[in-house]
Amino acid sequence: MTLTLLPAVDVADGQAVRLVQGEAGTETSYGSPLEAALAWQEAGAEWIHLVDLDAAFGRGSNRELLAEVTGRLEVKVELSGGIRDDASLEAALSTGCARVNIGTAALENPEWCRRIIGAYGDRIAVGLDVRGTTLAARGWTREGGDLWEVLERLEKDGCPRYVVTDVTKDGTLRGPNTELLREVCSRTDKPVVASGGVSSLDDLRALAALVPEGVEGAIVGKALYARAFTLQQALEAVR
Amino acid sequence: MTKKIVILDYGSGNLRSAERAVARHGVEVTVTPDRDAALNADGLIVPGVGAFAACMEGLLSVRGDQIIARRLAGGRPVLGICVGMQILFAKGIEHGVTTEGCAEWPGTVERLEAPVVPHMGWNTVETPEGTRLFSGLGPGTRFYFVHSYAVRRWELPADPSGLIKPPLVTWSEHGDRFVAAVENGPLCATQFHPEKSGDAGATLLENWLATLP
Repeated sequence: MTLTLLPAVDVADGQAVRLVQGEAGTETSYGSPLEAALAWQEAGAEWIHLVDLDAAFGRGSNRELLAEVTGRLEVKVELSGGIRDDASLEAALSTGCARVNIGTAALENPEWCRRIIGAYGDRIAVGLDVRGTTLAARGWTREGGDLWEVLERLEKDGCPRYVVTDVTKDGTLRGPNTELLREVCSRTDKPVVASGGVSSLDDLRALAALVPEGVEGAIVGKALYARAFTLQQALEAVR
Repeated sequence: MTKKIVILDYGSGNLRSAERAVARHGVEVTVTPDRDAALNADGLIVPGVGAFAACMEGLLSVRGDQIIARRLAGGRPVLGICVGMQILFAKGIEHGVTTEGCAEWPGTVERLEAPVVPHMGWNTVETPEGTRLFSGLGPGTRFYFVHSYAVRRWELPADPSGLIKPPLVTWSEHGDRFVAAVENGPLCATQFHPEKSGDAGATLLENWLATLP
């Protein structure tokens, strides 16, 4: 098994941006989301991690633009940000994305979460945004519950996939939190996608080494945009 | 195998001197607006003379912004020259009118503040530690400039962790400091004209060609 790489395209106000530590207001603009996604597609990505930051921070939505981007791409899209009720979930799924990443909603509404996991199965991934072992809900700015309690609940509900972000690492390129990922993998048999902190090809190799334990993929953002390495080099590094 | 270089022809004129300068290095050079050729070349050179807005318009008409972005995602080298460097920044301001650029880097191309504009002639540059582009070119080396606009502030925020190597920025001075060259992974650019900079320019082009895979 090869580690799957998901280049991230974060969208705010119609523009592709990168955040530092998930705080609104620290965006750096990088241009057109469609162009960014097409560039990753052309460079060999099999997945794009597409994020509506305005929806995640509750300050608006780029839903139509994201639907257009998803429609224009041939690769699989994981859509994320602000999916918290039936309306936003159905809108997200109707873009033709392969998968949606549920964050906040899964923490604040266990009943809804259980229901949609039952209804949509593998098209749902639950985002676990972790600070220490505490989940950070609502974008990343409020504290949620204890990670292990939430994970146990989601396991009972049959959650098919987890996207684990260490929010103290995301966008800061300090390296992925491999201890946290191994700990999560030891408590579930479901695939885990790692997000946050990748700064070098060595970081990717460290994540690739966790594939046998259950790490399926890695979301890579800022390092690619800063040209620390190219997607081609990243794909070769985890091959 | 002979390396294939494409000089992107988007109607910006004066491409022959670049073509001749590059051809001297034993590579195959094609001047073309063709998308596939530009995407697949071992190295792409984006020249540019004249106004930022006109160059951007020409570039967009051949979808040059997309060609650049897709090459960079795949790690395929791109070299911008003069206005071909300027349009890599986020925006240009000419006579109070702002034009969006390719936004590969944040920053603004604006009019030089100097007693004499355009800045035309030979000038020295201040190179950063670790430069590959200026390898073998000492501090007194002069390059040929002709421009009225430049990037006077490098605005890419520093990576707080310090783990990512920031782009290497070379500066020059005419009235004020301005960006003379940038090296950023597969994306390189010079404000001066290496193809008109004699032996120093030839060495720089040779250095760039040596970075091609």
